[in-house]
Amino acid sequence: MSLEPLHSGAGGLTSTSVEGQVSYLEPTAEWFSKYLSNAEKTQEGLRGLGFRRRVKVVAELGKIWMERLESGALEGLMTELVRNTGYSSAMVYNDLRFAGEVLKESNVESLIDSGLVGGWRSLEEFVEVAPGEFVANLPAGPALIIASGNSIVPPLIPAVTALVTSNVTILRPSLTNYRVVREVFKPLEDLARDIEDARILGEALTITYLSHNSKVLEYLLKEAPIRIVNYWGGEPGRSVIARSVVENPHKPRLYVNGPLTGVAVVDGASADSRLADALAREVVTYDQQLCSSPTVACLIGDYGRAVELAKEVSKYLDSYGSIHRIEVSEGWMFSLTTLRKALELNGAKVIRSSSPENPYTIVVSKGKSSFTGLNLVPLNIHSRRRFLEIIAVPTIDECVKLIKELPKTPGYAGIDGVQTVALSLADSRSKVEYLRKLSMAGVHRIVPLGESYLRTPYEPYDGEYIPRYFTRTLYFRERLAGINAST
Amino acid sequence: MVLNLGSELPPIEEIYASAQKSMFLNDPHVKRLWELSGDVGLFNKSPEYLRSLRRSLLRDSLKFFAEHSSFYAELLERLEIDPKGAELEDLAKLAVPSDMLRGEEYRRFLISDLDTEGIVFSSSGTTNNTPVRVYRSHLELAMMTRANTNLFEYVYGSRLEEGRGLALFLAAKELRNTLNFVAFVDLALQGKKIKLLYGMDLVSTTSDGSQWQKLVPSKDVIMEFFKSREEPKLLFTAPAGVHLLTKQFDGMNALKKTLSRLVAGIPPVDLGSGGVIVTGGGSKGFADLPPYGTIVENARKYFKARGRDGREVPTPFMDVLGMTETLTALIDRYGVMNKIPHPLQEVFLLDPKTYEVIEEPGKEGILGIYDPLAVSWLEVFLPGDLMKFVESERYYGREYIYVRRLTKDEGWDLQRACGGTLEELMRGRTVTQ
Repeated sequence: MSLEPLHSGAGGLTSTSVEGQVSYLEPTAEWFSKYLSNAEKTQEGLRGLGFRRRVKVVAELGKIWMERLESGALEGLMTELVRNTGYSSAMVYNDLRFAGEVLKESNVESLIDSGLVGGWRSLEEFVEVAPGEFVANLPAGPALIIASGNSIVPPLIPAVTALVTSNVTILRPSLTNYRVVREVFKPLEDLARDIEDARILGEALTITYLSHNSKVLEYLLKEAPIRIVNYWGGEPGRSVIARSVVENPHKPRLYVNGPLTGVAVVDGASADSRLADALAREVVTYDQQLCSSPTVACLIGDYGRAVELAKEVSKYLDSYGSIHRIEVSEGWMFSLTTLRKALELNGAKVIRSSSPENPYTIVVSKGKSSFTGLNLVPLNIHSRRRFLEIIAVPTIDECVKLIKELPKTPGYAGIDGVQTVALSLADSRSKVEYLRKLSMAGVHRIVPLGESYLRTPYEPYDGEYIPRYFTRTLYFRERLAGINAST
Repeated sequence: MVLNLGSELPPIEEIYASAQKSMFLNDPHVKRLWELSGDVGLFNKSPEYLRSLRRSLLRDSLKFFAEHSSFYAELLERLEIDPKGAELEDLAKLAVPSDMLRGEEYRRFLISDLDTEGIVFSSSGTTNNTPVRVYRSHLELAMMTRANTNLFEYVYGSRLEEGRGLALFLAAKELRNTLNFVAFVDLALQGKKIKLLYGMDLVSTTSDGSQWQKLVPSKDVIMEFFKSREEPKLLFTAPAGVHLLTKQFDGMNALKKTLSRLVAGIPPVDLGSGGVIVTGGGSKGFADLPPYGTIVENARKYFKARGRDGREVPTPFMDVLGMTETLTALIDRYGVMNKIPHPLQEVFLLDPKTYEVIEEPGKEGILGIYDPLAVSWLEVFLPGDLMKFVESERYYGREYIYVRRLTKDEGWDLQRACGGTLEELMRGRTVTQ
C-alpha cells in the first residue's frame, strides 16, 4: 500500500520513506518545523481571503468529488474502502455521497454559523452580541487532527472546520480511509495552479499518515508549535496522545472525541412494524460503527413485546441485510458463534441469521443486559456488526439507569458513553417526561428513531460545537451603559 | 453444589466400586449407557444401526438433562428444542465452544444432583493460559475407561492381553491427575493389569525468585523400558516426544551407536510383538515439528515392532485426538485408518460460515463432538478445530482427518469504530474483556 502525504503549498514537501507494519511516506520533522514557523503568516493569508472565499474553495472540492463519484472514477477507492471497513458497497457509496454533502457551501456556512457565538461574521469582524459588547473568533491553530476510520465524514468535518476558520491544519486520517480522505482534497493541487484562493487554502493543509510510533508524530505532539490537537478515538491511543500533549511547551489544547454508541428508546405501544423497519435500517447503516448507531434498544414494556419486536426486526434485517451484503472471516464468525452461545446460556433469547453475508444477531434480555456477569466476550462492541440487544425494562427510569451504566456493562466496555438516543413514542404526551429524564442520562443527542446517522449542520458533536475547538473568542466591550459591572 | 474433588486419580478398582454405587444407575437411561460403554459388539454394527442408536440416546439424554437441571430445561425451551424429536441440527444449536469451559466456567454446566465424587481435568494450557476444565464423576471415569479401552483395541487391531507387556508414558505421573489423555491411558492399562512407567519427572525449580515446575526426562525409567524384554511394549507420548528421541538417536555418531548397542541393546528399540507407539496431545507448543508422517517415518528407523507372527512390521503408530472436554477420544492408526470415534460418540462438522451440518465428504468443517456417556453435563462442544471426513467401510461409516486449528482473528483489523485511530496500537490485543 502506498501512502503519500498531500500538501499543495508552493514550497512543496520533504518526506522520507517509513518501513514497518505499514509502509508510507511522511514529511520530515525538519519540514514540519520550518512549515510551522510560517504558520502565523499562513493563517493571516487564509483569514485575509474572507470566510465566503474560503468556503467557495471547499465547495469546489465538493463539486469535483461528486462529479468523480457519479462518473465512476472512484470505483477503485470504493473497492478499497469496502475491503478496509467491511461495509457493503452500497454503504460505502452512501458514505462517499455524504462527503459531498459535508463540503456544500450552505452546509459549511450553517455549521460555522451555528457553532460560533456571533456566527460566521465573527470570523471577519467584531459582532455585537449585547449592547456595547462584541466578540470576534480568531484562528486558534495550528491544528493537528487525528481522525477516525469508521466513516469519511468524521475526518472531513473537523478538517473543513479548521480550514474555514483559517487554521493551518495537519490532518492524519485513519489507515482505513487514508487514501479516500486524501483523494477528497487532492484536486487542491490542480486548483492551486490557477486559483489564488485555492493556493492559499492548500498552503494551510497537510494530510499525512503517521504511525503510532512515528518520531514525526512524537515531534508534533511533544515539541511542535501546535495549538490544537483533536483526537478521534479511544484507548490506548487516547492516553498516549494525552501524555504526549502534556509535554508540549506550546501547551496545545486537546479535544478528544471518544468512542460512543447509540441506544434506541421505545415505548411498548410504539413497537410496531414501522418501528421494526426503522430499527433494522439503523442496524444495517454503517453496520453500527457510528457513535450514533443504536447497539441497544431499550423497550419500555414487557418481555413478550420485546421478543415480538425482535422477530419483526429480524424480518426487516433479512431484507435490508441481503441488500447490504458483507464478507466475514471464519475466525470472526467463530467468535460471533461463541458470543451468541454465551448469551444464550446467560439466559438471553438470541435470534440469529444463518447467512454469512448478513450475519445479524438480536439478543432479547429481561430487565438488564444479558452481557451482565459474562466473563467471556469474544467480540467487543467495536468488533460486533449487526448486533442488537433489545432489553425490556418496566419504566423510563430503568432505561435511564441502563444508559448510564452501559459503559461499565461487560460487552459494552470501550465506549465512553451513549451519544444518541433514537426515540420512538406512541403517545406524544409522554415526550416531555421522557426528554426530561433522558436529559439526565448523559446523552448528547435525542433524535427520532431511524434518523440516528443523520446529522444537520446545526448539531453539536458529542455535546460540543466543533468550530469552537478551532477558534479563540476575543471579547471587546465598548461601554457598560447603565449597568453596574461586577468585578 | 459442593464437589468432593480428589486431588489424585483413584485406582481403577476404586473407581469401578464407586461407580457401582451411583444413584444414576437406577435411571434406565444411565443404566443403558453403562451397559453400552462396555459393549464390544457395537464395533460390529452397521453405521445405520449406530446412527439410529445415537439418535435415540440423544433424545433420552436431553430428556435426562432437562429433568435434572433447570438450566438445561430453560435452555432447551429458549432454543425451541423438543427432546423427543431432537436431531443432529439441534446438537449444532447446543454445542458450546470450548473457550466457554475455561477456568471455573464448567460449574455452570453441571446438573444439580450429580455424583459429587470425582475429579476435574484441565487442558495443558498450550493454546490459552486459562485452561479448559471439566468435571468427571467416578461413574463417568468408569464409562470412559471401558469405552476408550474398547475403541483403543479396535484401532490397535486386537485385544490387549491382561498382564502382558509393558508401557511407557513420556509424561510425569502427577499429570494423570489433571490431564485427560494421561488419565485415560493410566486407567485403561490398570484395567488390563499392564505395568505403566512414567518417563518424566516433575521437578520444582526456582527462577527469578518464583517457584516453577518443569518436566525432566527420567533416564533410568526410559532405559528400563527400552531394555525390557516384555512384549508388547507400548510407548505413549506427545508427537514431540518421539520426534526428540529420534533426533537424539540421529545425533549419535557410529561409535556411540555401537557402544550403546553393546551396553543397552539400543538403537533400535525393540517394541516386540504387538509393539506400538501412541501419540496424542497435538504439537504441545513445538512450532517447528515436522509433519506427522515425517515423524513416523523417521522414528521407524529406531523403533522396531513385530507382528503376532514374529515378523518385523512397520512400527504401528496410533494418534489420539482427545481433548479435556471429550470423554471418549478419536483415534487413528497411521496408514491403516483415519481418526474414528467411539460408536456412541456423535462427531459432526459445521460449515465455518453458516454453521450448518456438513454432509459432504472432503469438505472442511468446524469439529463438533457430542458424547452421551457424560452425565454430569451435556457434553456437546466445539473445540475449535477444522476437520474433514471420508466415507468408510468401518462401523462409523466415516473417518475423520484433522486439518488445523481455527484462527480466531477479530476481522476488520484496521477498523475500530469511533476508536479507529492509531490502529497499530490496537493490533494483537485480546478482544476478550
